[in-house]
Amino acid sequence: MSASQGPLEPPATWAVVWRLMRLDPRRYAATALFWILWHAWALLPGLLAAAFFGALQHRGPFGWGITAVAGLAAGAGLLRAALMMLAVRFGVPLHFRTRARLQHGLLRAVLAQPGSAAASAPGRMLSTFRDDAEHLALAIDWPFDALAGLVFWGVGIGILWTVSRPLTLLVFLPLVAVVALAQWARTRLTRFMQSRRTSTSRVTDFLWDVWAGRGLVVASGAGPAALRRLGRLNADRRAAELQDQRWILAMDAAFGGAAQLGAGLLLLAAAAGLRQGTLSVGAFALFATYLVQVAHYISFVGYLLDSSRNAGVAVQRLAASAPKASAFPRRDPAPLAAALPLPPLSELSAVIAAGTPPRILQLKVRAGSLTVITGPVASGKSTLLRCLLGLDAAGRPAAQVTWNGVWVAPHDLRPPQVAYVPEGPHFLSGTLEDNLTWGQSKNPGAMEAALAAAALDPAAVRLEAPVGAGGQALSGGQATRVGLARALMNRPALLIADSLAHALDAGTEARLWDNLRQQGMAILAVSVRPETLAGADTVIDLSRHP
Amino acid sequence: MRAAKYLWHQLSGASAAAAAMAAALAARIGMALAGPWVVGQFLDGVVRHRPVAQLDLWAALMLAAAVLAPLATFAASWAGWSVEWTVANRLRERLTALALDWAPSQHRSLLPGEFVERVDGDVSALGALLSSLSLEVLGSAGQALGALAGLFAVSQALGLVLAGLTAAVAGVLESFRRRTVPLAEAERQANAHTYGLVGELLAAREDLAAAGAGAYALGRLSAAQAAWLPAYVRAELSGYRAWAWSLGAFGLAEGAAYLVSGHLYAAAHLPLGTVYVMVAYVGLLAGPLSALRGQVEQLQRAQGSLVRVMDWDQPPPPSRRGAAALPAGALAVSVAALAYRHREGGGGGILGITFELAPGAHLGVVGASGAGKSTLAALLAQMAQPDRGTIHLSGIPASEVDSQALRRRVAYLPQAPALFCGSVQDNVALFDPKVPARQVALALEAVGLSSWAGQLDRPLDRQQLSAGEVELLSLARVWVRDAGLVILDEPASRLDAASRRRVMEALERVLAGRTAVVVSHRLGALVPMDALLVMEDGRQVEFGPAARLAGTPVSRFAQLLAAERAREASERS
Repeated sequence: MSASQGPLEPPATWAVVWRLMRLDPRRYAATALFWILWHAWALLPGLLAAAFFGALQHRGPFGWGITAVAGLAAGAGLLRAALMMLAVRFGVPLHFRTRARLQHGLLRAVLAQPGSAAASAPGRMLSTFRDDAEHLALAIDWPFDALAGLVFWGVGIGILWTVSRPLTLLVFLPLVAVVALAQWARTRLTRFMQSRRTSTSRVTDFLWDVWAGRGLVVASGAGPAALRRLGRLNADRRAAELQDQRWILAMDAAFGGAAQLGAGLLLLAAAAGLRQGTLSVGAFALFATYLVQVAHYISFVGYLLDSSRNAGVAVQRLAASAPKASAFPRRDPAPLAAALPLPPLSELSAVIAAGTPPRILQLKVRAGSLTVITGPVASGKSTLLRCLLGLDAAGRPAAQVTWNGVWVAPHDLRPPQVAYVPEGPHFLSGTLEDNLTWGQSKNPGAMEAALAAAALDPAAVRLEAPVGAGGQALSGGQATRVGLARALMNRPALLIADSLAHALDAGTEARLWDNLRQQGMAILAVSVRPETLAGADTVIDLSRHP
Repeated sequence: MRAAKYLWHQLSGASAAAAAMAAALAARIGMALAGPWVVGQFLDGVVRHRPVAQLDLWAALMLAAAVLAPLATFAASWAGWSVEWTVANRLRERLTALALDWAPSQHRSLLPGEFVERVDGDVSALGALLSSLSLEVLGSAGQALGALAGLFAVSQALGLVLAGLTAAVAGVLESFRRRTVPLAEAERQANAHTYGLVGELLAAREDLAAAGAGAYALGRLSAAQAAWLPAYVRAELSGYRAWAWSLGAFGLAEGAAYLVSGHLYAAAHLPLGTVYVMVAYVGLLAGPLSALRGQVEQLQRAQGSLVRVMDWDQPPPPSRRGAAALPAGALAVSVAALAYRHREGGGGGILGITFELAPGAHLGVVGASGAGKSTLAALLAQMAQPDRGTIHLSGIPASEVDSQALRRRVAYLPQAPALFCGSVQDNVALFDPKVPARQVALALEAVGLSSWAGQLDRPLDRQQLSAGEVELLSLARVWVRDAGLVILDEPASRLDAASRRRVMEALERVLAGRTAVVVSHRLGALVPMDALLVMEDGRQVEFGPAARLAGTPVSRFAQLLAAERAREASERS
C-alpha cells in the first residue's frame, strides 16, 4: 500500500448491493422466489372478494358457489403461511451471513490500515460494525421486494384496467402523486440521515469513553457531571432524530391518506355505475379490496425508501472507515496480504518523516545493536516507530526501508524476523497462552524461553489463567512483560520496543535488558531513561534534530 | 407480568405523550372500523335505490376521513416517537448511573463495546417496543377487538366462531412468545459477546497488524459469528413460525366469514351492505398481520432486550456509607491491618498493611510489579472495600464519610489514563461546569501544557496526543480539585527526564499543604517524600521516614536504592 494512493471513491450503493447479492446466489434466488410469491399472494383476496360477491348474485366466474370460494380462501391462507416459512428458512441465514461477511471485510480493511483516523474512534467504528453492516445487509432484500411490489402493482392495476378504465385512473392517480412526493422527499432525507447518524455516534463514543475511563470518573466523583453531559448528547440526538422522523412519519401518514382518498373517490364515482348496473358489486369489491392492499404496499414503498437511504449512508460510512482498502466483501476474498519473508538481518536502514513538526530522519540498525530513540514529550518518538512499521497513516509519507540493502515495504517488517512491543500492549479475552501465541502453534519450549527472556518466571505463570476483558486482569508491569514475551516467541532478529521499561521496576528492567542483549538480537527502542541511553550503541535524540 | 409492570413503570415519566398516543390511536382504530361500515351503508343505499345525493353523502364522509385519518396516524406516531425517546434517553442515563455504582468485580467483566451495545442497543430496542411496536400491536389488537364486536352484533354465531379462533391464535402466539423469549435472550447474549470481541479487536488492531496476526483476528471474529448464527436462526425462525400460524388461522377465518355470511345472505337474513362489512371486518383481523413483516425481528429483539435491561436496572444495594464530613485542609491518614483479595481469582491482593500519615505528609509506596501497590492505592481511594482492616481519614472511618465529600476531597489518578470525547476543558474539569476556565488554564500551565491553555474549547484530538501528554493532562485533572488527600498511581512513569523534572517541581508545589500517597516503581523519584512504604508480594516489608530509611544502610529501601544507583552508574560508564 503506497502512500501516494489516495482514498478510494465510495462505490455506488447499487454496485455494492449487487455484489452482496451474488455472494450466495442460490440461497438468494430461493429467498427472492419465495418472497415474490408471498407478495403476489396479496392479489388473491381481491379476486376472492369479487368471486364471492359474484357468487352471491349468481354471476360468479366458473359458476363457483359460496362454499368453493370459502374453501379457496382458507386454503390460500394456509399456503401463504407455508410460503413465508420457506422464504425465511433461506432468508434468515442469508441475512446473517451477508452481515457477517460485511463485518469480516470491514475488519480486514481495518487491519490492513490500523492507523486510519476512522479506526481510532472505537465507539464510532463499533457502530459502523453494528448498524451500517446491518443496514447494508438488509438492503439486499430491496431488489426482490421492489420487484414483488412492481409485480403486484402491474398485475393488480392490469386486472382493474380490464374492469373499468376511468375508475382505475381516478382511484389510483392520488396514489401515484403520493409516491412521486415521496421520491422528492427522499433527497431531503439523506441529509438529515447523516446528522442523525453523527449524533448517534456522539452518544456511543461518549458511552464508550465513560466506561473505558470509569475508574477515573468514579474516583473523581465526576459521575453526575458525566451523566449531565450524556443527557445533553441524548437531547441533541433526539433533536436530530426529530428532524428526520418528522418527514418519515408525515410520509407514512400521507400514504395512508392517499388510500382513503382513493376510497372516497371510488364511492363517488361508482354510485352511478352500481345503480345503473354497469358496475357489478363484485367489481366494486375488487376495487375496494385492492385499495386497502395497495395502501399496505405503499407504506411498504416507504419502508423500501428508508432501507435504501440507510444503505446509501452505510456504504459511505463503510467506505470512510477504511479509506484505502475496500471494506466490501468478495465471494472469494484473497488471503490477507502476507509480509515478504525476510532473510536474517545484517542491516536495516530507513528514511522516515518523523517528529512534530515532521522532519526527515535517517536510521540504521545493525544486527545485535541497541538503538535508542529519545526526546521530550510529544516529540514523535512513538509515531516514528509506528511509521517505520506502517501502522501510522496520519498523512505522512511512508517510510523508505531497506533490509540488508534491499527495498522492502514497512508492512514487511513482521514476524518472524521483526517483532514490536507497543507502549501499552493490547490483549483479547482468553487465556494467557492464547494471547502469547495469537494463532501460532503452541510450542511449550519456545513459550517458556520467551517468558523467561521477558523476566516472567515460567513456573509461576499460569498459562491457562484468563487475562480478563482486554487484558484487565494483568497489572501494568505484567501486561508489558506478557506483550514482550509475545514479541519474543519467534526469536526475532529485530525487536522494536516502545517505552518498554516504564511499567517495570529497576531490578526487573535490568534483567530484561541483559536477557535481550544476550539473545543477540538487534533492538530499536524508545526510552527516556538516562541509564538506557548510556548503554546504547546509537542514540537518536529527536529534540536535537532541527 | 413483571415485564408488563416494568414497561408500564417506564411510561410514567412520559404520561402526557403516552395519553396523546393512546387517544390518537383510538381515533385511528375508530376510523379503520368506520370505513367498511360507511361502504356497507353505501352499498345498501345502492341496492335500495336511494337518491344519488344520499350516496354522495357517504362518499363525502369517506373523503373527510381521508383528511382526518392521516392526521390521527401522524399524531399517534408522533406521540409514540416522543414517548420512545423520552423513555429511552432516561433509561440510557439511568443504566449508566447504575453501572458506575457497581462494585469493581462487576466492572471488570464488561468490555466497553459490550457496555455500549447494552446501554444503547438494548435500550433502543426497548424504546421501539414502547412506541412504534406498541402502536402496531395495540392498533392491531384494537382493530381486531372492534371488528369482533361488530361481527358479533351482526351474527352471534360467526362472532363466537371467530372469537374462539382469535382466542386460539392468541394462545398459540403467547406460547410461541414464551418459547421465543429465552431464544431471543440467548441471541442477544451472543450478539453482545461478538460486539465485545469486535471492540477488543479494534482496540488491539495495531498490535494484531504488527504481529502479523490478522488471520488470527479474522478467525476469532468468524468463530464468534459461527457461535452466534445458530442462536440467531433459532430465535428468528421461532418468531416467524408464530406469525405463520396466525396467517394460516386467519385464512380459515376468512373462509368461515365467506361461508357464514354467504349463507345468511342467501337465506335473506342479511342485506348486501352488511355482508360487505362482515367480510371487510374479517379482513381487518388479518390485515395488520401482513404489515408486520420486518417488525417480527424487532419484536424479537425487543423481548430479549427487555429481559436484559430489567436485569441491569436493579436498585443499587443500599449504601453503607455514612454522612460524616471531612475537615478542611490536609487530611491525616491512618491504616490498620488492611487486607484485600481480588475476587476474579488469579491471586493477588494485599495483607496486613498498617501505617499512619500526619496531615500534609507525603508517602511513597514502592515495590516490584505485582507487589500490590495499585491495590493499596485503590483501597485508599475507596474504589473497593477492604476485606479486613480499617482506613481512617483525620480520625473518621473512611467508610463513614459521605461519598460526595469523599470524592471531592480525595483525588485519585488510576494507572490507566483516560480520555473523553469533548473539549480540552471537558477533559480537565471532567464535565464539571462549575470549574472556571481560568482554573483549568492555570492547571494546564502548571503541568507544562501552557500551549493548550489558550484553546480550552478546542476538541481534544487524541490521535495527536503522545503518551506523555496524556499523563500531563491527567495530572492537570488533580490540579483543579480541592483535595485534602491526593493518591497518584505511577504519575510520572511515562515522561522523559526533562518533563519529569518539570512535573516533579509542579507536584511539590501542589502537594504542599496536602497529604499525598504516590505509588512508583522508580525509587529515585521518591526521595523527596516524607515517608516510604516498601511492599513485596502484597505485604508491607518496611515503613518509616524516607530520610531514615535512605540513611540506614541495612534497610530494604537503602539496598534497593543502592542497587538502582549502581546499575545506573555502570550503564553510564
